[in-house]
Amino acid sequence: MISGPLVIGTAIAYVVLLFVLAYISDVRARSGRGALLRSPLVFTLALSVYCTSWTFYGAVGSAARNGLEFFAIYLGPTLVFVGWWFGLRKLVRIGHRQRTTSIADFVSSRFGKSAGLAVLITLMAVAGITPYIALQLKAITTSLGVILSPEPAGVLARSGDDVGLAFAIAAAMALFSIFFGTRNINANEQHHGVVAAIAFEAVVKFVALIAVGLFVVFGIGGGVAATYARAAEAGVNLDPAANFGPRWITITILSAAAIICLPRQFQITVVENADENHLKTASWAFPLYLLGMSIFTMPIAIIGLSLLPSGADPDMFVLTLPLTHDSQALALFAFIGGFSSATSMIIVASIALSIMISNHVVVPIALRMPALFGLRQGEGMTRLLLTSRRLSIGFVLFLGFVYFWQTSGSGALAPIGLISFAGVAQFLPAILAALYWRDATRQGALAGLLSGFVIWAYTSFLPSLGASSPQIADLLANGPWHLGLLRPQALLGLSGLDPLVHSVFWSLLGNTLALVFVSIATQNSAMGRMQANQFVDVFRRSDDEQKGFTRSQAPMNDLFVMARRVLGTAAAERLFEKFAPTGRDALQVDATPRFISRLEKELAGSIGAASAHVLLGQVVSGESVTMEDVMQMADEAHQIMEYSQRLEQTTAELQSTTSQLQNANTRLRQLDSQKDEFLSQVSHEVRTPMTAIRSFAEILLTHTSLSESERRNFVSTIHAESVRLTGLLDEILDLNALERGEELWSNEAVDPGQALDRAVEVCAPITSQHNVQVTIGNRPRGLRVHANFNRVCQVFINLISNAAKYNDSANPQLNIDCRLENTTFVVDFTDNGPGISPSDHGTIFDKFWRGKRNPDTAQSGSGLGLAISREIMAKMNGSLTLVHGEGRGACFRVELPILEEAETAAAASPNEKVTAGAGLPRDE
Amino acid sequence: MRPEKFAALAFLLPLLGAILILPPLVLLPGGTASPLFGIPANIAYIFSVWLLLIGGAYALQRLSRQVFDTPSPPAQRASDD
Repeated sequence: MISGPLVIGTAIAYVVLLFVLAYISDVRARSGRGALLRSPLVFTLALSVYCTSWTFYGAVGSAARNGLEFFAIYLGPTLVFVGWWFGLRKLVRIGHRQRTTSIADFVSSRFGKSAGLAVLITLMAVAGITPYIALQLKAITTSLGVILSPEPAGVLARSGDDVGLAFAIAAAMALFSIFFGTRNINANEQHHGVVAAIAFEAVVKFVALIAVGLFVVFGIGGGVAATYARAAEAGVNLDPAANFGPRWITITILSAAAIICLPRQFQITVVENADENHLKTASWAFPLYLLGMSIFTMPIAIIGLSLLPSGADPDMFVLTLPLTHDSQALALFAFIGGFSSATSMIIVASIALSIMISNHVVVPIALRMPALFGLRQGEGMTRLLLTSRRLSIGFVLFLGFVYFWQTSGSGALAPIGLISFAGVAQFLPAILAALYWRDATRQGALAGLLSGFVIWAYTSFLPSLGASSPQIADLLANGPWHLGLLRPQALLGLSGLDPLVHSVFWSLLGNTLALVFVSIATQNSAMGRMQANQFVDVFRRSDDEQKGFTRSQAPMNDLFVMARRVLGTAAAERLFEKFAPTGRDALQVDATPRFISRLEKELAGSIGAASAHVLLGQVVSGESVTMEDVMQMADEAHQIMEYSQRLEQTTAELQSTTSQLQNANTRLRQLDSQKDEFLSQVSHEVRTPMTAIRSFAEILLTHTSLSESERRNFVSTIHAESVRLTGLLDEILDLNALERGEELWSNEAVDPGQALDRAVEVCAPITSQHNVQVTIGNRPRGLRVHANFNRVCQVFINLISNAAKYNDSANPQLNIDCRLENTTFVVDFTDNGPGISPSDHGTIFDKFWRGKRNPDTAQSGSGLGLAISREIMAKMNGSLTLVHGEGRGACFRVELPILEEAETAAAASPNEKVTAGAGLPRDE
Repeated sequence: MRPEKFAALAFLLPLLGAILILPPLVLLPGGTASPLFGIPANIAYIFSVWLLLIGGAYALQRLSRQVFDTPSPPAQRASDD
């Protein structure tokens, strides 16, 4: 047994230490020396306000009763913090941008700065957190009872509650919270002193719990393995199937929701956060802290169950184990650890709730009834805020005390905590919608929150009071008006579930469905739409100035007076000077939209977004464009922009179509003129022989006295001309077909040397007629090209006969030189004729081009030979070109790719010519 | 590493954690039958997953410094106080 004065004295000394610490931190932070206070480490430690006395004492009780379930309470937050990049980072960024003061402010600000929503969330939070505060009071009084009892192991917690003590503690905590939580209101609700104290308490409770754990495992239990070996004897439930069921999942979800939705967590994570980057450290450090807090929970439960008498309260094992093993000092330390986890929760929760109550309940009422609250145009706002916050803290703690008093002596710690968790988890759908769903509306959020809250109150909160009221017990058993379907713990007949799972399932389902369906059915207001974009797109926006009251001619004096009263004189002057033109009075500020929206945000940092909007509206109204007007104007502008964008797009499309059409037209014109030219050339070509035929025929008809030889001469001329005409027409048809890409022949493997021999043979009459001396060099034999024998001959004949016909040299010669170059068969036809003048090099392959030097042979060709030859060579994948030969004559070069042996075999079979290889020509 | 890939990793970690600590995977290690260093298998499993997540978050923090060289804009209120 430890003497009462020692315990009480230690507790009081501890509280005094907290006061001193908070005071020094506050002073340091104010004088700008609070670097450590803004470090990630302090932020992480402050987050541990999550671990209350419920964790410190109750987790062991939970482990003793329900096995591994307590792990889930830490694993949910671990997941949220490990995934900080997606949830918390956005939450904190928005919180900074919008100067959020509380979770109610956050949600109401997102849904169009709705005052109603803020009130609802405030009420829900108070209802949800009151049992939680009672829980802390209960933990402190019970632990005090245990540590002061002469027979600690035999004490049942239920008999030891001391109402007077609980009241004293509640009062002391209220004093602390008021002193450090409501010193100022102009600093965006950051309380450096409180945070420092909380961080210190985090260390105390951590070290205390680890110390007890080490003592129990290694001092009493005889090591880790020996401790766990007693698990079966102790009757701890470690069976996987029983532990990891629906309740495990539910608690994981609930605790993940709670780490965001609990007002005290939101206060520390978002409001007191000095730098978004602290989240990065907290993402691993906070889960590590949680792991440390839970590492000895199960061993303590096992040892407690197996060593302490069966009546001992498992919630107090952390204290009773050291006490019964003669470690009074450790027990005292453990008591201080539990005490600090309870006080830190009470302090932060009461501050968070008081901010919500004063900003969302008291101020809106005061603004509507200024006379009643002594307000004249914003005057007295600071005093009102401070007073209402102080009263709120007292009120919240008093509520907690009353709940403790009424439920005194009933219930273990863990179930009460889970009821609270389930209550605040109802904020989760609204928060997720706020972060990610642009189309969620104020009505949707309101409907969701209301449904969730009502179902929670009916299925979770009401049954928790069942033990204290026979009416409620009857309602639980039979349902209202004996309607079995409405029984609170078996709604719609869904029985057989754990009551917590049942309640969480129905409440979150109803909540989410109402949120989604009502949001779909309703429209966001103008303000709602704007805020939705501000929240959902927070990472896309670089400007944090939001358009609120615009084009304002607000009387500067009024604005300044109001700002001074809410923010305090110094802060207001700083703000106005920042926006004033250099070298001029602070009141010379232009009421730009930027300035007004900045002012609104600063005000929101003190009194919440909804109230700030109303307050500023009172001063600015009448001379400003309303939000709805602005949004309408923006909408119209947007529509016009969209319309003009569409027009531009259409114009661009039209322009592109036009230019395509113009191109096509130009091409058509070219083709048309080519066709005209061709036609006139053809007519000309046809006309010449026709004229000859006609004149000779007329002579034959009119001059009957012609001699037989003359007559024969004329007829033979007519015949010759007709033959030439037919040949010309044949060639035109041939060229036409070639140009259209018709397949006139099939290619096969042929020997080009053979074709050359044949051509020389055919041309022998012409060459001898013109006395041309033909020289053929050695030529490679046995080659194969993919070609048509007759057509290759045709090309060669054309070239040889041209060389013969147009050669005006005294001693005409033609050199035919063939060779193999790599995989190409090359033939050069070199003559010593007049050659082709450089100006004709580009046109000799055009239709109807002819050499004009030799008068004897003029007009003897159609002028299509070279054009046809070139087309033929192209069809065989070869080429016909004019090269610069030696000497004065012309040199034409024919090139044909030779076939490999395999290809030769394939090409020899006409049926397979299509598949014969990539090197083959394809007529398309 | 591109920021998109970092975001994918940052998303994967909590997802993986949730999969590992929820049924059916959490049922895998069994109960007290096969203890690890004297610790029941399912408790050892939970602590292992937990440490894995903490290590993963720590690695992500280091990685985020590399990916986002430029520091994020300092919180407004820090300068206003």
